[in-house]
Amino acid sequence: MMRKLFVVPLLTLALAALPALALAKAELVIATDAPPKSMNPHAYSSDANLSYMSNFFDGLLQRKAPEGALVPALATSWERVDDLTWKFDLREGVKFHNGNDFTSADVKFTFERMKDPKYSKLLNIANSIASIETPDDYTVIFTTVKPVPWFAETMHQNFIVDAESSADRDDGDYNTMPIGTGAYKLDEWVKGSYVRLIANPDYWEGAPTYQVVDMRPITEESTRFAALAGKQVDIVNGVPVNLYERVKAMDHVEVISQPARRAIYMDISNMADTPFADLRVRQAIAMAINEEEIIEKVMSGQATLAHQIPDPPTIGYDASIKRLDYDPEKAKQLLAEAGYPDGFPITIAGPNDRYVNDEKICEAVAKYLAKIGLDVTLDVKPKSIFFDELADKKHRFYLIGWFDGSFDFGRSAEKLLHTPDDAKGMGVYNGAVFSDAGIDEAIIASSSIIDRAEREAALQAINRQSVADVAWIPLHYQQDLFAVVKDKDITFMPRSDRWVVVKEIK
Amino acid sequence: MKTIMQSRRMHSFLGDPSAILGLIILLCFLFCALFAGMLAPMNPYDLASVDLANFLLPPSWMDGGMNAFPLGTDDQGRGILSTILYGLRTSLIVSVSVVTISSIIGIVLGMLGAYYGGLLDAFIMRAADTVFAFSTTLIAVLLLGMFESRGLGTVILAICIADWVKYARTIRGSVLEIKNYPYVTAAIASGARDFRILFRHILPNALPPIFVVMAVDMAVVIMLEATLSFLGVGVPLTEPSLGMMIAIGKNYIYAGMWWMVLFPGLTLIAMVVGINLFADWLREELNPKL
Repeated sequence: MMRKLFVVPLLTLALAALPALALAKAELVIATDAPPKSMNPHAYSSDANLSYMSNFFDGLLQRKAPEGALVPALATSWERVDDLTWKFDLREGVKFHNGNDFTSADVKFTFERMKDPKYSKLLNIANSIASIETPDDYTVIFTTVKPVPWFAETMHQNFIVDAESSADRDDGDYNTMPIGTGAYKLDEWVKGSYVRLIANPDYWEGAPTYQVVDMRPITEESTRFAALAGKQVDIVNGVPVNLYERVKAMDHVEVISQPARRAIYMDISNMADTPFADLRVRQAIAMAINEEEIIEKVMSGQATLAHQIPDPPTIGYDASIKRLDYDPEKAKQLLAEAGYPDGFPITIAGPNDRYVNDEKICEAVAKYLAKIGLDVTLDVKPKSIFFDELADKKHRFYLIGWFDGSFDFGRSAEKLLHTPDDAKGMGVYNGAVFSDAGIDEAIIASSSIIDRAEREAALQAINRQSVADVAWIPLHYQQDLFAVVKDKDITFMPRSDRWVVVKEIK
Repeated sequence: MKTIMQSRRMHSFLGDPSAILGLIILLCFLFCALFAGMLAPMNPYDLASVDLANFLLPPSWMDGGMNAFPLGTDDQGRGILSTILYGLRTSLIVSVSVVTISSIIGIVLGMLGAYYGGLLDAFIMRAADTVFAFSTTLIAVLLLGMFESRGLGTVILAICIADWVKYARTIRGSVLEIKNYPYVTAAIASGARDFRILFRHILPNALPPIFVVMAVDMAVVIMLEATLSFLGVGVPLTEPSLGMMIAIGKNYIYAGMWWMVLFPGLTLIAMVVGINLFADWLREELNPKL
């Protein structure tokens, strides 16, 4: 009995000491709002997963904080030889984490594997490649199926894997142990707890500043806040908007608020035989939403009004576009003119765990639409279910967010605005089904224009048309909030794509 | 009336202050729930009357509070007091419906199994065991995940599917005992039909323990509904119940806005305590064996 009594506190002590020991090892602890889902760099196209991957892998090119300028990585230079041909010269002397040399064979292997739905969600760019030639170990020439003006612009997120080892690794290992050329190697991935990174001393850009780094996904907002308040983390990516004032008031923390690239908008249909087919109805809905109030109240001021979907650095952005003003009276009048003086039933769909305050924005929109007399049903659900429903084109009116990693509105328009056409790979995210023959034509035509200025003008025209036709109702651009602990002398420059690229932290 | 007041049961009730307190609390809540529409300053479930402009107001006695919202507002501009009143109604509707429906299902299935025995009994009780093996919350969450739409009806249905088991088990035990009593044997001997034996002779004598289970179950179901709504699979977003109010409020606790969690939380606790106090007395009264 005595012995038993003695063992219990000892065990408790040992257990309590364990996490303390583990924590003591990391030099830098970064809290993020989403966990990695796989260590296969092509398994998910979400920015959360790509953010983790950017530390273990390199693309042919990379984007540098803060603006995201496209600069060389595994390729030292690149050019668009003609409409369909892209040539990349590769960097020599780069080694994978397992010691293998990086060559053009790895690039070819990577893009071929990306075509396999079993390994990849990045099918769009992979399937646009018709052939890959490797004239020598350090040159790769891609030929695309059709003109893809933004081909190089996506090369920062197509991460290169090692051909020799990847070919015969089993899936379980491939999905949990990344072998790349990146600045960090994976030390340990404890699901639901942390991902530990160890510096790669032989990194081609020079070894990174921090040797051992923990990335801790904390999905619950208030827990993330508590971790920061309790000084358990050094950097927080995704400070809860509701707690902005509180975090700002903390003495040991510096808060960085910067405009995010992501636009939040209501996607709307114009499908025949629905009330949405009438432009006046779509205009009425757009006018009923008091977006400025949403920004002030729901978003605590941490968002900027959006007049269009692309953000300013995107090719195709047009500063002259203005959204419809908030005017509920005019909205009611338009509804009456369109033949719906007593409103009609409308379902507002949206995710409740994807964007900042997504559920609350949907609820606010529901209130505005109820006030112009519509019979509103709210249908928000977890993103895993919601995005499946979008793929099935179930909803006519829903909230969603978008930012284009390639900074090209042409790519966005093909996915979001073009009439859905699975065979051509068009309109894959046009879940509400907006269809306009004129816009479709303009989108196709724009992809063959090589001259940058001319193409920009064409994309701006499409953009203007989409807002005038109320193909969507832009709400706001999110504001990204980061927190950095002050006294540790950390230099952290947030990226506009919200990736945490640890090698950039000094 | 006089006989009720003088009965042994009434005497025991009046001698138990906690039971009286429990009943008073219950009646108060019942009153609030029934007349929520008249008592509440606003209708928080009517989208057109909720205004985002009034969001996150503190209780009226604090700086920045408004008299129209005595207990403050939530992040959509709904008054906390009004929402609590309407939420109480939701809680009670769910709990009364679930207890009624699942007790009927459970009683019928449990009695049939116990009376006829054999394969039927084995089938019903194995089904009950299967349901019983999982936690009620888990079953309800899984079912609600499968349903297409959200609403009170689906919440009630999901909880009923998980909840009938305890009634079936309770009644089965009583029926197994009662069916061998001489008066049942006599009824069989005199040629009474099964239906009559079950519902006239056995059921009335097997009910007292069921009443106790029902009383306790009221509180359990209220908590379960609150849990489901807290987890976001319960009532629709635009019609918050107490559980959902707490879920909304928890995002603002660290921001110092305590009223969104405290008031619905206290209400929930008071209601569950009230029911349990009353159920406690009922158990002692109806189940002298314990």
